[in-house]
Amino acid sequence: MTTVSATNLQMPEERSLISRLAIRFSAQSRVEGLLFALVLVILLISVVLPLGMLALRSFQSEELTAFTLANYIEIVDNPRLLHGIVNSLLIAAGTTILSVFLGVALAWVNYRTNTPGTSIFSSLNLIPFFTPSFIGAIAWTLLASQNQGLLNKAVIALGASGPIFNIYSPTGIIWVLSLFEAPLVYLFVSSAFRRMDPSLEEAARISGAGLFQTAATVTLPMALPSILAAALLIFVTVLGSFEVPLVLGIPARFNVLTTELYAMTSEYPVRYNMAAAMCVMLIVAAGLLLLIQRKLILSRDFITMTGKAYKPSRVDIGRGKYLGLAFNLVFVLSAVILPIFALLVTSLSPIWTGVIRPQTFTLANYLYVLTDFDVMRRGLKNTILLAIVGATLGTILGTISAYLVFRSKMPGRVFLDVLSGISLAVPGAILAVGVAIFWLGTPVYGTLFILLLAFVARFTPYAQRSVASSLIAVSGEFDECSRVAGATWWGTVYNIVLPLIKPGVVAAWLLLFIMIVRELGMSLFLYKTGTETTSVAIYLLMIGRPSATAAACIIQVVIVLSIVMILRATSRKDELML
Amino acid sequence: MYMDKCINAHDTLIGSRGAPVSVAGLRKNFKKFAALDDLSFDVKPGKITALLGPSGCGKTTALRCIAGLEVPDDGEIKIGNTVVTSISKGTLLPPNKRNLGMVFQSYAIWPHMTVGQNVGYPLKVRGRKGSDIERQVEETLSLVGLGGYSTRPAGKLSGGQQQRVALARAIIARPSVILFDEPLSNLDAKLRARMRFELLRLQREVGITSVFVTHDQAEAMAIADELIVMNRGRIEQRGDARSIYMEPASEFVADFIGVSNALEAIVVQSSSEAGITTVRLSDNPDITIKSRARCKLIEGQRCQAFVRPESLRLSSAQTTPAYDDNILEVTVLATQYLGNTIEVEVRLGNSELRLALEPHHHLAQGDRLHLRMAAHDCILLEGASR
Repeated sequence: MTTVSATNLQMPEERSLISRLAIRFSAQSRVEGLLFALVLVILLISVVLPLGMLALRSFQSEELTAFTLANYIEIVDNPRLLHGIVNSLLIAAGTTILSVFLGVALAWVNYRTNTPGTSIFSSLNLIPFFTPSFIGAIAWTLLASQNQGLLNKAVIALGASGPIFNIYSPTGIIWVLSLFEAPLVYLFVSSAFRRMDPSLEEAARISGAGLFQTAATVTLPMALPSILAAALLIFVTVLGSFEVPLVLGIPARFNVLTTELYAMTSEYPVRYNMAAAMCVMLIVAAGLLLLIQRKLILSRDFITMTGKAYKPSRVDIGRGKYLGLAFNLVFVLSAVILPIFALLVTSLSPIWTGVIRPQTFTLANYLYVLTDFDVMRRGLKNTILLAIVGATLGTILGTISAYLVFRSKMPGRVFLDVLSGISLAVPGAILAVGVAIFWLGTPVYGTLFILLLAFVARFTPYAQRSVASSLIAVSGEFDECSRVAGATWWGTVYNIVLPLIKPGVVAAWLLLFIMIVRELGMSLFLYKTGTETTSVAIYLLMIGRPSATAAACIIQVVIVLSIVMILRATSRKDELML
Repeated sequence: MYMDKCINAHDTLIGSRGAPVSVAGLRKNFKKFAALDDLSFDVKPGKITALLGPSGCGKTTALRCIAGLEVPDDGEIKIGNTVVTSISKGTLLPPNKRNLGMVFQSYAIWPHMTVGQNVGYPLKVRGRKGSDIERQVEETLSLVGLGGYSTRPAGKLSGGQQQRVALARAIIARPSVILFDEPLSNLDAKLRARMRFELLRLQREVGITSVFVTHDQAEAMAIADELIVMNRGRIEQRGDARSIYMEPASEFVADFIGVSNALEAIVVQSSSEAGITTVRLSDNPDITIKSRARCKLIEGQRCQAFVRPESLRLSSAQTTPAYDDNILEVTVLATQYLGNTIEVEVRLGNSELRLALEPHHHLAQGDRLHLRMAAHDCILLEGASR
């Protein structure tokens, strides 16, 4: 049928394994190979080895003399640690339930009913997501501490016999954490609602189902994977959360695993290996839960709900819509307006006594924080430096690994993806313990570099995700076309790929900047005198100086929210998923 | 012997016309699935060759191997006199060193550039001067009917315009070969028909060797000088449109190209090679038809008779058949009026046949008529190959 030129006929037998391998290698660009190695080495140093060190040390006695299971046995034997575990589970469960309720209700009110104000609330409801939770906790101590809390004063003025709220309690911790986690549920569920084909519900209505029957048999089951996924994510996050229990739990002598971990590594006698065992336990628990979460997302969410966003059909709930509006207002009041109000009035008062006296308002606290308080001045300098350098490094690394995972044909790219995802599953406080133990005794320990390393390790996966979402949206034919048109690998990356994914890269940088500025948990484990961040400065200021603390908090919130504004202006809304 | 001709032709045509392409022994497995199974073919310089087949037949993989976007597991590819891929020799030229143009299925018009920047890109990366590029971009754009569009942002073009830009970009650097990956499949039917003519005109004008991948047989037949019908990573048949349509070499080709009626049959009388043979229909043992064998068949052999719907005629009166005509009694089952034709389904004994008639016929369900089928139009292939 076909004629073949004579030179080709001898071919099949002569090919050698070496020439085949050579061709495989030259097919991947050598540059890609080098980048792959670079990312791998950085991941190894910043994530894998510190975590490996945790695993190793957890099986050693404190004197490093012998391998032993003693640390693990003590976790279950020591009543104090057992208490910590129970408390952690309690807080995680409580927060998951409350924040899922808040988030689903808010999403339903805003995207499935005719409650007015969706356009405003869709932004306002997300603000807690971007502000540091420990600042929220500090603000709520001003609102609901037993003696000086503004809300308690208000209810007493209204006739209550004594203070009703006590923020320094498990309930207080759950409340504040829920306010900050609810937006995550809200994001998950509202995006599921928006991606749900309204004709699915309409078909149920046509088939004879009533309003609530439709919601119960179609709407909620369809959104269930998203809800469960968000719930699991929150459970894991709260299990590893450190800042809010630190601010609200310590004064109440209510300890969770992470605060015990902090005590163990910062109070004499320091017990690193005991801490390592607790970290390993938490990592295993978090890893298992996140594996289930991933399965959930992959199994249903993507199949039934990918593709374009639909205009959701909204249900007329009659007068109920005013109830919905009131509910959303209360949420925004609790999560955004009241905390900021409390911080503002406190920061403007010379001495905070729980009474607002506008005639005495002064900027003295701001002046003190910015000029006289050395730690805060250092902190601002350090934080800005860390945020700029860290965001830049993290974005570069994230962009490279996103490219390698989603664009190259490098063997091992799936492995790279899994490896870089590890630090998403490990709570920040635990990664920090690992990094601290790993560099203990080296000159790096106690420098800004170790903070930088920890931040890059922790936040690079977020950059990778942001860039990857841009990269996936850009067809691979764009690059291929450039290659066939005659451009080299680098020419293609420079002329085609980078310009096309620029929005994702910019968003990644801003995202990392925000995350580093608001970070407290890891910094607390890794800072030494001279390497404090603003968050650490606020924490150090917190004891005894509420007015100055409030002023510092306002400064921090302003920095974070102004970056958020830039972020929102430069990227599409649905790219903001953290 | 054919290759000799190609190379001679190439020597005289180099520069203004394209280079020949030769593909030999190409293999490619994805997991356990063989996308290319010892594929060999060559493409004549300056002509359009279409790789045609259903999705998954390996046509796109073959094209991507030529482009250097995919590495075959085995085999060799030559463009002109240059070996661009040879697994045994360890040669693999990267895509940018192959001097190709390519029109992608999605067009891949870079949205962050202007029309002119898109079209001029191949020249830019070849290091040409800016003023040169500008002049050539303008020339090439007017060639595809987009004169004056150079400064427009590329993101806001219609489908047809994107297609033209992609085409201009593929030809501007005068590559030795242009590759087309289903370039018309994203256009609506009317525009597709028009672009077929434009593509053909343009290719004749620049005369660059073209390899065209498509699953649309009408498109392939309209555009290509030579068709290569592929199935499961192998070539089923190659030839020009007429021979492939009229003389299908296999059951697959007869079935894939156009609509065919297939009748299971048994040979009654052995045939000489490619002669008229009488067969008995398997489903209707009392019906025998005369048909044309494509190969030597012996008595009692199972075979299949293929006949195109438009080769069949209906008449109400019994007329005397010519020597090689079959006249068969049929009943009308259903008709569909389509404007330019009427599609008719008739029952022949226990079989059903489809016909395409001229639209002036008036038929009703249940009409008993005479079907006229020329033996020449009824092609016999060795059966039971499934």
